[in-house]
Amino acid sequence: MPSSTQVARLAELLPVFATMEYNAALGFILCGLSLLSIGFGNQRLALLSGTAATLCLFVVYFGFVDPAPQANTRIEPLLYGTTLVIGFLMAFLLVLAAQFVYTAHMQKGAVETANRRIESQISKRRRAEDELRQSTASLMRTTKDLEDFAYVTSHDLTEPLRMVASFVMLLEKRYKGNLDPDADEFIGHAVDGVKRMNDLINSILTYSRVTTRGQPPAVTDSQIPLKEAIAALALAIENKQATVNYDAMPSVTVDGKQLQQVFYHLIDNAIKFCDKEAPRIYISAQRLESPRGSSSESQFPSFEPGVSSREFQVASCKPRVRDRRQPETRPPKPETQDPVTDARSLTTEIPNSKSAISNPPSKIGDPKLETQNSKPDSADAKPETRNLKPETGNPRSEIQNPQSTEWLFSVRDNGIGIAPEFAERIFGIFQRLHAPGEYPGTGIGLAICKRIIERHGGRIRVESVLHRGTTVFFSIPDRSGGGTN
Amino acid sequence: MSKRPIEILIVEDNPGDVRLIRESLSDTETQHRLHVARDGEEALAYLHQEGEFAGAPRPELIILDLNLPTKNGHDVLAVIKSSAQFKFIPVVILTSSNLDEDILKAYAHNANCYVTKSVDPMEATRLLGAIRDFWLTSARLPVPLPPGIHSDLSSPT
Repeated sequence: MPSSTQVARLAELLPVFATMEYNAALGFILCGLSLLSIGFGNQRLALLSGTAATLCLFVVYFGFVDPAPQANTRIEPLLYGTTLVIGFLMAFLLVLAAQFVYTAHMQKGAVETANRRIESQISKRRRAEDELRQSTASLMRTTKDLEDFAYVTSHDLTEPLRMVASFVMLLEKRYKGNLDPDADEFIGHAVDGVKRMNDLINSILTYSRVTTRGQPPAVTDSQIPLKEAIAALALAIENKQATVNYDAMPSVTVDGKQLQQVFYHLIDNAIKFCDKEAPRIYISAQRLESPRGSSSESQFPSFEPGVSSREFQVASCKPRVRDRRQPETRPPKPETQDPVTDARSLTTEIPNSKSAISNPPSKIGDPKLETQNSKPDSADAKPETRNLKPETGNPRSEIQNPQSTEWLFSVRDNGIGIAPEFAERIFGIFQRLHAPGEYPGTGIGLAICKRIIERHGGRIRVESVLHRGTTVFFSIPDRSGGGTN
Repeated sequence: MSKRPIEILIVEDNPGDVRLIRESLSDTETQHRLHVARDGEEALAYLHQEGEFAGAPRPELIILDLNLPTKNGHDVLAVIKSSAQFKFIPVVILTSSNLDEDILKAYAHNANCYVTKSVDPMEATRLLGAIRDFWLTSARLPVPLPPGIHSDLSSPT
């Protein structure tokens, strides 16, 4: 308990505290403090000081305190007016502060709700990612299993087949002549069937090995696999009196063995599917710059079933086709070129065709110009639209992204050609367009080529005019940054 | 050459192949006797003259398949070529596997030659003929010496 003297002193001071001026001053100070608190974002202090200030000014305004006896009557109305204004201001600030606190509280709730939502979304996403990872793993397992399956199956299938083949032959060897001609014929069919079956099994084996036995891509001079493929086909080339010529070949990042396989199958097909004259095969490569984005499809001369004129083929093909038509203007005529002394390089070929861009209408269908166009449907457009190409295509034909370049290889022949409706089908496994007796082979070659090219991130397609010839185009992404040998 | 028949051990699980080898080898003047083991365990039992193979003659040539039940051909080959007793016996690997790994592994284990069974019957006949002509006619095989002497030979170091 406070002592009586203390209470007495407090009572003495009370009038001083209770003066109107004192209260008004305190009210102003608290008001300022409240404003400051709001400015600094301290809601609690703002609320407190605001309340206190309002209280002070309220007291002053309603004259709850006994005014000092010597109060100046002249000042009084002014003081009352001022306190009134400040009182309202304080009340307003109080409401503002209250609202501020309330909003902050609500916002906190909203943030928490949002957080919860985000968290649940994150966990959902995580679950989805896990699922994706699991399904990817299971897909990879399945792929691996399938590859193993193909390999093991084809490997194990040969065992019983070998037995059938061997014993049928033993039968033939030992009893030929002792049986009637029918029996000999039956044995012949059996042996033949076994041989075909064996070819098919070996084809599956080779096909499955594209991914299971593939080597990691390395920078390879593509002339080496090409030469190896030609060497492997030496006998067939000689038998059919075929001529194989090729341009300068670039260095590309590939599995060399597989590129050799691609060349082998394509040249083999070119030799095989040629009936009337000596096969002439021409292999070349050109560098293509991708005009950014998804328009890479336009790089690829696409097949237009409706247009089958020679003019179209020339237009959609490569410069060398024009060479062939105008041998006098372009001395190195492909057919007569010696592959070894072929000095025409790719780097000289490209500037030639680029210069053609500046002179568009006179050079109908310069292939470089067309393949550089960014519109997919432009490359195989009709002649009239083709003439318009340079204007639209030229500005965008510049190199925009050096990463998205690729080498476009082509293997052209003068063989029997392929009807347009089969242009896609021929890349399927065991797809044959002829009876087994007509042309040898199981129909796996192009399927293997496709698998190999796709493994390297490229594309393959065929362009052909029936009875006139076929050109197979395939692309290999240029990872090395280019350059020819 | 002695008139004594050459003892040949065929380690092969497929009776068809055994028959084909038998057929091919029958086309020679060289006297020979065929013994058959149908899996790896049996092959080792034969070599060690265990069980039903008690008293079986030691082979002078082994024709070994790789893909065998129980112990596979590589295991059998490894046992043969690491055994002082048997390592001088020529082993012809005759298998349907043409995997580079198998070929390398077989030679690493000192196989004497590696031949792939061909599905093409003409080629298969030619290959078996080549094995027959070389190993039974052209090549000289190690003649088993009287007991006791081989152990001196087998540990040259």
